[in-house]
Amino acid sequence: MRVLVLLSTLALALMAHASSLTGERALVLLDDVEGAHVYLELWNDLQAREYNLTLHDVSQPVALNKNGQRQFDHLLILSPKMKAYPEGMSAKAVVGFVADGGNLLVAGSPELGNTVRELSREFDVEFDNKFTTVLDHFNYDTGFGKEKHDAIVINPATHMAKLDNIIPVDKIPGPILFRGIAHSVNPSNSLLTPILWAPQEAYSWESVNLNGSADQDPVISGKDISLVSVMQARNNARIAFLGSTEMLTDPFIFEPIAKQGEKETISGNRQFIEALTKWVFHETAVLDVVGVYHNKVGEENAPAHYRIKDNMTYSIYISEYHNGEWRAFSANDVQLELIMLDPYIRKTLDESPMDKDEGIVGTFSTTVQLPDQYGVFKFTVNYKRPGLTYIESVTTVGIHPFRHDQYPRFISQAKPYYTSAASMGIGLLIFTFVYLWGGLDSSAKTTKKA
Amino acid sequence: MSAETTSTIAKVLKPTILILIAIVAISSRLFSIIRFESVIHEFDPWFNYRTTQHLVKNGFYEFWNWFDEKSWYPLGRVVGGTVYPGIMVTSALIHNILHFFNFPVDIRNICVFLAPMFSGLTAFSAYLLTKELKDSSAGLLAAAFLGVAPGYISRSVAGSYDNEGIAIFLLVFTFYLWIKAVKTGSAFFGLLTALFYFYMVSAWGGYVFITNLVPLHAFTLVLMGRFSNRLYVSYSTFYAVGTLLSMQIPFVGFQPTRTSEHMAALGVFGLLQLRGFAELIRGLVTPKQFRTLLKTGIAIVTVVSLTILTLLSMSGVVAPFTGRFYSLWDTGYAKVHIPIIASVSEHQPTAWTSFFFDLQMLIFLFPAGVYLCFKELKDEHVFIILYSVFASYFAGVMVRLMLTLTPVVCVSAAIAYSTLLDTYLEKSEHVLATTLQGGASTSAASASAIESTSASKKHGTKSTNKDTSETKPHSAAASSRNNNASEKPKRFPIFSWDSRMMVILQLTWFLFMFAWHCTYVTSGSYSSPSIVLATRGHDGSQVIIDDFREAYYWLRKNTGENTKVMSWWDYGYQMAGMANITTLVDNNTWNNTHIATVGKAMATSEDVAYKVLRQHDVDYVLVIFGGVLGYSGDDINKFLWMIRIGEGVYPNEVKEQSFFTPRGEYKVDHEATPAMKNSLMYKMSYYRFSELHGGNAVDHVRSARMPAEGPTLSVLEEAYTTEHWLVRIYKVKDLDNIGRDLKDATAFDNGKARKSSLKRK
Repeated sequence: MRVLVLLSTLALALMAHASSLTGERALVLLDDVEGAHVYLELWNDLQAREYNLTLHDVSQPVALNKNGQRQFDHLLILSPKMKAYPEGMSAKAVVGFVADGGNLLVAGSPELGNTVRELSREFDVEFDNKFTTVLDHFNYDTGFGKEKHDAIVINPATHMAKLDNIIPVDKIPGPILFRGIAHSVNPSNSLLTPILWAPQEAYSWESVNLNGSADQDPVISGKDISLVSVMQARNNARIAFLGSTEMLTDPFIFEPIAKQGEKETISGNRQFIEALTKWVFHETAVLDVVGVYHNKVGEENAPAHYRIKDNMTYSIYISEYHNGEWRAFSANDVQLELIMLDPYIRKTLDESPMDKDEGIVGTFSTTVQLPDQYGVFKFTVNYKRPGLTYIESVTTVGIHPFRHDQYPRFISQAKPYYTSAASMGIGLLIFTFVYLWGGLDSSAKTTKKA
Repeated sequence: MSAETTSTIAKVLKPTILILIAIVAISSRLFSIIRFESVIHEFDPWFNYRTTQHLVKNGFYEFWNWFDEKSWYPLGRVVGGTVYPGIMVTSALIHNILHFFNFPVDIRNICVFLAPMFSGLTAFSAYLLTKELKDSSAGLLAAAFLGVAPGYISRSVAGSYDNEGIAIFLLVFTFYLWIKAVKTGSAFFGLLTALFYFYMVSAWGGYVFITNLVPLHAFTLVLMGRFSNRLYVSYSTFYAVGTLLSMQIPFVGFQPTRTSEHMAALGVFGLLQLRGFAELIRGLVTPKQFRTLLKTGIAIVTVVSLTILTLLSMSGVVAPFTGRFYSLWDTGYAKVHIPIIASVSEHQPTAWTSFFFDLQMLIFLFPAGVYLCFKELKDEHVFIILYSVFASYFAGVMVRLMLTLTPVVCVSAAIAYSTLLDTYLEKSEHVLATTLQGGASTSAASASAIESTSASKKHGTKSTNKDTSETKPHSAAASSRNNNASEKPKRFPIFSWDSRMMVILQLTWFLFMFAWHCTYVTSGSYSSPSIVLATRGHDGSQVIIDDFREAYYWLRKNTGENTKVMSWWDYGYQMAGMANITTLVDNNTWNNTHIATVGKAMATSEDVAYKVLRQHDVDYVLVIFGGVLGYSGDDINKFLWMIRIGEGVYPNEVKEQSFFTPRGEYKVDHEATPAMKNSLMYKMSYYRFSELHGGNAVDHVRSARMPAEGPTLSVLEEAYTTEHWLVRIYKVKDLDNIGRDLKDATAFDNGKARKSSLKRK
């Protein structure tokens, strides 16, 4: 029965199949549609993954939302120069688009306008001032960055976050080439993670005025410069901020690159971008709670409520969407918490070995004895790991005290009282018999009394 | 008219009068139904109604073990173990009986009409009680008085479905049975007393009054040297059976053996056993030996019992008195130590005017009645005297306890009134006839002699029922008084027609005034359901303000039953009953910390409050705001209590002092303190209030002109405000989707972009 439910749930999910779990409609905002051909490889790649791309000039009106319906599933803002939103769009609409479950990719450049800057600020991403660029006199590419030292070469092994759920380091064959604007992230925003940052020697400075005297320190420098950051919103919409539109273009993908005094290689940009868009557009690392079951040990169905100190089995079934197919999610750190204001029990769930039929669902279960405390408890699995869909499964169940007839009826401590009560009763009986029929001459006395 | 016809007529008249009294008692309680509708009133009745529904729907077993997950979220409440089930079981029983006979009466109507129905029974028991004290005509008067006395009506109008509604009947009836038991010395009546005591225990926490008054009566009788086998039998039966039965109510449990409030009853029980034992010994030994035995015995018993009591109290086996009990002795105690008790208006000391308001002419007949009791001073009169002394004291301490005072006032007032009537209505034929009999006496003293003859006759007939040893001295004294009548001149009998008429007319006029006053008070003050308000419009027509039900109905229709709604505890029962949602705190007030947490959320800034709201999974917050309407019982006026209760548990986060201006005033306008202006309660109450009259909004409760710029809210959003702004409901926002704090998110939604955080070093 349970397996059937699980499978039918999954079947529904599979029917809606596309590369992306959330949909294939993608809107790309460009400063100039004429110049879209520089991204040819990106378009090819996305179309190969079955995306329905709409390339859109920022000067033309467009609506993200029509009659309360989201019109696109993914939004790529590759228009850093944008002075104003296209008619029908606004910062509020973009934030609303994300709140509605749409994914967002924002790329900047040194010519970044205020529109995109203010939008990013809402996501706690602060781009540096206009016309600044990330400079590095040690790690520049001898081809693109010959003059200004602004195209920098980044080693993914050392300057990329080791979050295999977002971009697995071993999939990136070469260094990443970057030319663009720096941004910093607000560390207090726990949803936001930088995944690519600048080398220690880099700094952010105005690229147009490179020869002028530097009378001030740069606003940000070294590892504080984030180049690419991602955010997974609380509703699991995914957002990426790139400091560079150029890193997405064909030249940055195909041209051989080399640092000063090193051998020429092909950049890892293509794989980096592929992995990043896959993550942002919900093609990988998407978790789904297929089912949550709990029952008393030895029973089949979930009770309406438990009693204190019951033994309970809790299972959660989690499936992972990865590159177009569902597979069993596997982890050893999924925890169950029993919370009533504070957690009363916190226990790591055991991953059950699965049989072949259920191969696409990971099973996590445990058996606990409920606390000796009645109340309304939340059985919570709060599983939030960077890159993975947040899982916050809450089952609210009451834990009741003993009923009046569930206590032990006869207890040994009370035996003296049972004895005294019984002896009293028997004594009364005997006394009554003796008094009434015992042959004592009590008639005289009783009449006197009355 | 012959004596026989009189008694035949009396036999018919008495039941007729009693039935009429019951009808009057019931119908005078129906104002609210005629004016509004058949609806449950106030706060606690809503809980009783909800539990009754549960009982009727799920049966007694489920009710007895009911764990309510929807109140006191997330702690839950063991309803079965924290409730006096008497009233619910009574209604459910009536419901089931009616349905058995195929009368499909809705349980709501049974609940609404339960208190008026029981008031008829109360009147009847007042008749029985007073009949034991004086005679049946006094009894009829007492029944009439108690039937319409506003002090009792205040808690028993139709719709006021509360414990007191049946408890007053049980109180009076238990006292009647007790007096009957003491008078007859019958174990049967002792047992009946115990049974009704059990019913009383199951119905109302005020049973403690019986638990202490009956032992006090017994103790006083022993002190007066009136120990008798009658007392011994009746008290022992009552105490043993009653205590065992009372322990069957889960809410009472082992309290009778563990708490100080119940110790007096146990002590008197022990004392009576010792006294009985001493009587037994006295019969077996010589008087001299007995005296020695008595002295040593008393010394040993005193020392031993004191030691045991001290040890038990010290070790905590016998719980010390509860706070509510202390506040009975020291009215300032609660205010200092337990603000939650002091915050309830019905726990405040009584204003002296309300004695007259609730009892009218009875209040000055009452001392006269007590005086008459002193004059007779039989066992049962001692009881009434004790009752009146203690009830008067308690009624002065707590408004609510006016309820326990009312029956004894009615009884003693009836005694006084009927004595007056007896004196002034005595038939002249009778007087003349007896004058002839006592013709030997001098003419001046003759009438008084006759008075005492008839008095002694009365005593004589009554005393045959009783233990002769008790009343013999009385009748002996009476007869000796009869013989020496000339030595003790008494008052003149009233012969003259005109002086009789004057007094009788005046008394009748008083009765009219009393009836008029009772109707006026009932109709004007005690018949408001308080969930529906009525005012007069400009043209004098009645305007019904139904904001409470409007808000609760909105909640009911727009949220699920698992929606958690936070409000101050006053509205907990109503929300659970009417809106069918989950509440955090309610009128049960069993967990001070939980209430203090709500108080803290109301009294602190948005950021602090938001953490509390999140931790408790609150979905909506409800406040009562009377500023538009001028409804003075709103949350801003109760706010100081929230602060005080919150401060009791969270002294670092809530400080009462910071809500007062430097001049010590409690202000809400532009002079309000920062703590006040930042508090969630203030913000919720006055949010968008200033927009109401174009920046000239005036708070009609506090007569304050509000600043043109009202407070802003970021962690809550307005969900619903009722027609007259009386109830305002706010939705608690979720954490921001993209990780901003809610203040920024709200500003962004209002069109304000964030400022740059980068700064040149």
